[in-house]
Amino acid sequence: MVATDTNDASKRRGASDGDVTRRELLQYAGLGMAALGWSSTAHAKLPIQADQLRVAVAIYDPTLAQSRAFASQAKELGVRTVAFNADPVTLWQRELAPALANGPATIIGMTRPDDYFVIDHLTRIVWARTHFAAAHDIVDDSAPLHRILIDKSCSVRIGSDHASAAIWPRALALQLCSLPSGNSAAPLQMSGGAMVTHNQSLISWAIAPRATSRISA
Amino acid sequence: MKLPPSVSAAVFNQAISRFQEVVGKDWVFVSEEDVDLYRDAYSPFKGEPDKEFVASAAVAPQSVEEVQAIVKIANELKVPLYPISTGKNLGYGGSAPAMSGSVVLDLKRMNRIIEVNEVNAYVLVEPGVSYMDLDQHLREKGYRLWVDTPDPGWGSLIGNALERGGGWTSSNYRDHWAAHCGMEVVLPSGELVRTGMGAMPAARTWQQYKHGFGPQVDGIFSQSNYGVCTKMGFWLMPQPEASYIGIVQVPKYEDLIPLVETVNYLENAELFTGLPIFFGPLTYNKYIRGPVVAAEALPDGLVETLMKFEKPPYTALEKFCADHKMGMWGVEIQFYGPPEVIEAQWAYCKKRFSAIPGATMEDGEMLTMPLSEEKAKTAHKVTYGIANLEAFVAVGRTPANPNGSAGHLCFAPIIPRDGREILKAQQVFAELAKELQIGVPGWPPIVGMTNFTRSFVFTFNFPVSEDPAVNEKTRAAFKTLVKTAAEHGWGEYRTPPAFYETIKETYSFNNFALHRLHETLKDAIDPNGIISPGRYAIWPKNMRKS
Repeated sequence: MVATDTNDASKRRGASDGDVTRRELLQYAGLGMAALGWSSTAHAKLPIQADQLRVAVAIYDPTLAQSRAFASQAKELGVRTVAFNADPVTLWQRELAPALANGPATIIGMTRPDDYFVIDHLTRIVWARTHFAAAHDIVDDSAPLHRILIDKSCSVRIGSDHASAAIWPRALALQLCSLPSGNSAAPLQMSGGAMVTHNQSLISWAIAPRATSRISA
Repeated sequence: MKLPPSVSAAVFNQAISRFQEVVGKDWVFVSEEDVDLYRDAYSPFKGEPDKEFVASAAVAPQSVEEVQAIVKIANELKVPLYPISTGKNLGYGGSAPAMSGSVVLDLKRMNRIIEVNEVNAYVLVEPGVSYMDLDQHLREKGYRLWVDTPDPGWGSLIGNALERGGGWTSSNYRDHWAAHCGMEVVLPSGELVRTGMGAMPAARTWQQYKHGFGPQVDGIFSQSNYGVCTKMGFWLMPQPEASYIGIVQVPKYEDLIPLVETVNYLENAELFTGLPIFFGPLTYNKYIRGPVVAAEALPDGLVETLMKFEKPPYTALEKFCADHKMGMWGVEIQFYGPPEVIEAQWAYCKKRFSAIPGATMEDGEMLTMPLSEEKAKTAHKVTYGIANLEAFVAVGRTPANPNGSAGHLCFAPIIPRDGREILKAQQVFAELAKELQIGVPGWPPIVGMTNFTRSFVFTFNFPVSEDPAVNEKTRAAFKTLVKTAAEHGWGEYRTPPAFYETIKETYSFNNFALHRLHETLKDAIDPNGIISPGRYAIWPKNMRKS
């Protein structure tokens, strides 16, 4: 089932998801953006229009702390958040299809790879496609290894040089939710780019419609 | 971009331009990013771009008239098309064409549910309607009808029926091809044909009587490349008053034989109509019916015990099962109907099963339909006509492999509904798998699926890897299994394009007489070979190797 929220699950988790100060977060995200550079020329390469990058909804897995932190940040930025509880059909029918049908919008998320695979293939029904995907290999308490898998229309920094494991999901959400709109658009280019594999622990992603084609629901 | 064979860039560009005139520029896809969406996500050629089946472009019409116009252009310019419905078919080739360079004819925009008739329990749909679409429509509109859905339910009714897929509810509906009634097909010439009663303009029985007048030709459009199906009717299952699952377990290895015989009798006599799910010791604990694989619920030491014994008589395994109060084999049988009828049916079934010494019967719970939301959470949804995608959760993720795999290839030979054959298949495939040094299909013991009432589908999935070397080994093993299965009379019912030719070689009666008939039909109906060249190993004359 799908639960829209107010996300109770993230609130129940207490401080562990939110022990990043705003200053730390902005500093981290800001450093990332500065390091890689936002440029308007890069935005010109985008296959979709800037206004299509409005983030309509953020999908998260309430059983994963990093995903909850990701959603928490998205929510703070005014993005609707939806918990994914292993029922992709309901998610598609109640959330994703309407979001994609009701105007240009991006859907972002942080989920398990299998769930991303299903969501990605569901959104292909309306010719949407993944514009950004990154794998986050998380083993025990060590720092996660981040790898860019797809980076078509935006560019997001997720370095391995951060100090706090709690920062990166929030920083990622901040950047995905701040994807270009209007004149401020400016994607970050990342290295890498490969077919998505299913052997990672977590995947963050952004799915957006094709430039001109949308199908009515 | 990979162009179709024997099509120049100039001709291809002309085709694209004319397709754009028909459907508009927005609905002709030529960029790499767009065409990538049609790649087979479970391709056994991952990392091998020269071998992977890929499209050159795609075109997405919204009406029958647009399909006709596209087909006529393709015929004139001899550009091959590859029609797909909603394009899932994972494990069997996805939406990628059987011949690289083909233009995918994507019918997803043709997504109208044209008619639902509750009194006569049928539906008429276009190719873009998925099981989950129809399920949602039936619920929202309050129809007391179920659609029999495969697992997963995001595929097209038409696409799955044309592939001859199977479902999970009552026996009259599980064979999706058999449950269809009436087709509309655009022939390679662009001409529009309706089959059965659809050939009579004033008939109101297109979805009520399958056969019409004269030869029944519907079958030539399944697993084939003779036309583009644009409408199809299906018989739907009236929502039953109740449903009930009874469980039978038997203690001995050889008991599978009378267990299957008893199930066959009861099913063929329609004393129960739900899908019988057979299970062995590793699939005990009702995991099949549950929403997730519960491997952790297996008794300690079971897997080790299973793996120690590779040949019959398995007395230690029988003892292990007895010690843990679990059957060596079991079956869940599901009933649909009024509670009083179900109670009588189950009572009679128990009487028949009790003829097997040591058989135990477990009563279930009489569930009234529709299922409550609470009950649906833990139910095996497809057996209640609920389209879902839990298969990806259940199959892809286990405690040992929490993130699933990179895909799979479905190996699915048809095996007689006979316990002896199952026991034999387990041994044959287990020994072969050991020899080939692959994961052990068939052992620990699996029994086979019963989506089709008179046979088993002895299904197991070969994992697809990101490593081309692993995939090469997997493909070779798959082909060896196909050949070995054929030597025992077990034939694949459906397969990914990578194995069409291998499987064609196993259907060789009378020097491939059936295959030659398929080719004769191809030459007559599609002389320019523009519809799905190579699909199910049927090639147009100008592309045949010898």
